[in-house]
Amino acid sequence: MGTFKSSKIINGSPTLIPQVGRDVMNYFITEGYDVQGDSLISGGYDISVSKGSIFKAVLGMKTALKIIIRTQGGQIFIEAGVGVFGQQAIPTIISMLFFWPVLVTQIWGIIQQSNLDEKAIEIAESSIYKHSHGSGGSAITQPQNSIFCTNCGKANLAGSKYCGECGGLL
Amino acid sequence: MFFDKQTGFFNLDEQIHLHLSFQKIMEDQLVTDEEVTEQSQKVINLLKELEVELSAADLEKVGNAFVEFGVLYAISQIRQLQDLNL
Repeated sequence: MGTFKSSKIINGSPTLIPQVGRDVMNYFITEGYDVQGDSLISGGYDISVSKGSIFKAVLGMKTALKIIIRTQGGQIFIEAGVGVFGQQAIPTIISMLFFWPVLVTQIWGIIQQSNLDEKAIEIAESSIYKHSHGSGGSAITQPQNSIFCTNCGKANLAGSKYCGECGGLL
Repeated sequence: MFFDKQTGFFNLDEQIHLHLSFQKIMEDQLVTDEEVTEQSQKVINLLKELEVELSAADLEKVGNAFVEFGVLYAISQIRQLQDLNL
């Protein structure tokens, strides 16, 4: 099913993806969720987030919030939707159930009620922003004639030696 | 019947998983043409029984539920095919 998911493209270096994946996983681990993360051959990240009391098991397989972080057009693409824990795609036997869309609708409703999809995207976005300052990437559109301070994040005029906010070396 | 009383989740999948027909057919992890034919016949017979046993009002309700399920299944398959064609 392609309907039940939230996604966002964020301006940032694709080299940040492993770090962003770790930050998203750590957030949900801290919140008490079962979390599993797998690196994809494409360089992306596939994360499963589940909790026994919230997500229903289907044919013995635990459903989950699936977070995919991958590169798209030189930027970072994040998608959060319904899936099966530890599986990169919904197993055929489940998707063949004629009422599978009914289950997806219910699971997606729970994800949205808990704002889990939005939270995952928000954590990834803030991770990209945080790590961009150290990697040369940027989570926000950086004006051509300014540089950001790696210490406090303040935008300074290009060519400045010291930050106008904290005085740090640029 | 359709929803788990505690969680509110639709639970037909659990009923299928535990159902004798499914367990018997999947015992060897293979599905034969004969098993599909036999199961199809079983469904036809059940529907015919419903037509005889249910009142006109109940029959309309059940029929409507089947049709709506059919619509959902068809459109979700069409939606997936659309994605493949992109």
